[in-house]
Amino acid sequence: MTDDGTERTDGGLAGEEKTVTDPASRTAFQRVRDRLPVIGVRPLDIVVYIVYGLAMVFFAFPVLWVVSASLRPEGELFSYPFRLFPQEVSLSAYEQVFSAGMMTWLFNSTIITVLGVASIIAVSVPAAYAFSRFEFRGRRGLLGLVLMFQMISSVIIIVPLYTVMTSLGLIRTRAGLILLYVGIQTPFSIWLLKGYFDTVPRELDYAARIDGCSRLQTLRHVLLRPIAPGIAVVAIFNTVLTWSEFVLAYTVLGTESDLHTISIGIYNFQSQFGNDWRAIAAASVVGMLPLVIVFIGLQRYFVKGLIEGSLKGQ
Amino acid sequence: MTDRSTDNTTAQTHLELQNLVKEYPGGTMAVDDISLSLPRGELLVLVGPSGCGKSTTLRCIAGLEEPTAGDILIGGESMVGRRPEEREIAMVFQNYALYPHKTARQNIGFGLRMTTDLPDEEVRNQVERVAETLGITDLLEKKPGSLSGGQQQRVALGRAIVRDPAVFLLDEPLSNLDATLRTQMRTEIQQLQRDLEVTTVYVTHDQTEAMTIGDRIAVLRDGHLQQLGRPMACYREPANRFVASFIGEPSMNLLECRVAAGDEALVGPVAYPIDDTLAAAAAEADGRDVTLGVRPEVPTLLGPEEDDSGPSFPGRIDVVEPVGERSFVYVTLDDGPQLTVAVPGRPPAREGTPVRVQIPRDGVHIFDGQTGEALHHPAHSELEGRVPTSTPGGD
Repeated sequence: MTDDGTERTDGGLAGEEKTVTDPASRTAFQRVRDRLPVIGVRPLDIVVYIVYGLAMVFFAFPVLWVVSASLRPEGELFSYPFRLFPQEVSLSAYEQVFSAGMMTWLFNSTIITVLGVASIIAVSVPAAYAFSRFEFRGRRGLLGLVLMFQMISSVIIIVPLYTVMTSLGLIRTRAGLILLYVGIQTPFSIWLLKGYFDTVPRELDYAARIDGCSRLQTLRHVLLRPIAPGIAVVAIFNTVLTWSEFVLAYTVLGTESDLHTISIGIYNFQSQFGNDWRAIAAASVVGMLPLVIVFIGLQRYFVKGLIEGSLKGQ
Repeated sequence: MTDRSTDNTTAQTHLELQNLVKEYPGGTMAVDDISLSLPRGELLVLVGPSGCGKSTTLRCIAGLEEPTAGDILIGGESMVGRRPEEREIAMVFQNYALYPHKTARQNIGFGLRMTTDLPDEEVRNQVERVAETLGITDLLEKKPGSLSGGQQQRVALGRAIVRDPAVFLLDEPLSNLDATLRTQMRTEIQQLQRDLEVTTVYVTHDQTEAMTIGDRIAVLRDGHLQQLGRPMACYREPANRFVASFIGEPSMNLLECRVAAGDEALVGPVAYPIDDTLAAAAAEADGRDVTLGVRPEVPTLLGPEEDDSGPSFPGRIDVVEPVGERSFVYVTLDDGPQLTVAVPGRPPAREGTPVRVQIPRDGVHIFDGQTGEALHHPAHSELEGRVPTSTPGGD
């Protein structure tokens, strides 16, 4: 504060004349800029929103195009000039993909995803609990090893995987594919969940043990709820990955068309004579829908969990 | 809760630690050979700075940690190797550790549901009875997130007492509360503990809390038991230099000295003339190094020109801290050391004023300079007369 400046109620200084400008002398830009704080937007915010908008268009356009393509009648796809909204809506592409076996693919994908994700959670929650809470010899080394497995791309080891699966008699079975997913995706899930367990105070474990809980009962009755947001993240992440995975699915399930998942189904519409883009688009839309539904469902729970977690007394 | 026996068993040992040792992998010695015994219904406070092993000791009693060596007896039975719920103990944690997704009712009743086969109605009755005792009946349906610190503390206490424990373990239960609430809850816990007559071990790093709440206090440092005794005994007759500096607020003034040739004075930052009693005590030290200990209540502030018959040292007032009925005056002596002097009432002089600090010989402690062991304490009656009035000493 300067010596001659008297304090204003808003905390500024009445003596500082520079802060008080004559409205008439301001440029148009200044006038716009001065109005911005009234609606709570700063110039930088506008730039950020423009970037957001561009990013959204960039990511949403392909999705919109796929939806649009799937709804066009045959032959209209490559018409000129380009139209995002088809002139005529036709469901013939959907009829085509459903008659080609879409229900089977959806069924297979659902079975594999549900069992796969459930197994991943069933393995990674107790593992993460152990890594977070138990002091045992080699704990750090084992954690590093788990992380190392995550670094290995499944595509690189696909040939040995195929051999092992064949010798175990798990090739061309859903169980084989589920096992692979569990093996490959569990390490990341363990690390993620361990982080969540680490945020829960150990005193909760102590309190539960004094209240008569065994280690497993402590996990079930006391710790599972505080880490629920973490489980939701693991579920969302693995559902997306498992549902849309192609390389491993195609390798393990191969030519067994009764076992094909949605991603293999979409691939089937590509042929050496040309791609049936309308069918690919329709199959993709049908394939996307369950994921969107799962995401919306879990996201609400996820956000709720996060808000609860931020309250005191946790 | 069931009836408690109030017969004549109070003097009987109820909880006993025998040569308790807890060493963590990596060689950290958290608890080193601690032996304690508590009669039924006693409130013992384990007090010490961070890392002194007090919480580890408590967790060993609770069964959350297994001791490396030694034994823990409750009611004469060894508890080592038994699971926490088999030990008839209850524990309250610093952060309360309430289950965040359960209501207060479920939090309090959880232990009963897990360890007993009581029907739901009986559990409900017991929870409500405890809630009534603690005045939290209207909070039973709320979750911890929507309760204040004090309310959470009460729920945590409810969770502990609903199971009618034989031993009550409290791990810094008041640390997360604000000052006013802390004083209030301290009284409540004391009252509750007396009403229930439950043997209690209370851990705190706050020596004021330890002094006010404990029947006895056990001062710990680096895993070792430094002193075990009634709070005022630890204050008046600290077993060593550490206890002397830890117990009492503000801390005891400690001056490192040597016994001068001829045993006439202790020479260090000041030259303190000693009489035969002090000389005899100082002679017991391992070497010639001793520590002179002076409680802030003991010295008297005199004007710069005054000179009394007792030992006094010139200095200048640095800082004055009025705290209500007393004032703490920090004086830097001309010879170098700074002394804290507690004077009754308003501060006697302003900062910067030259004064003389008189330290009467019948008010000083002497500790062995090497081992820190106490060699001499002031006689009680003389000290007691001095504390409330703090009039100029007459020696």
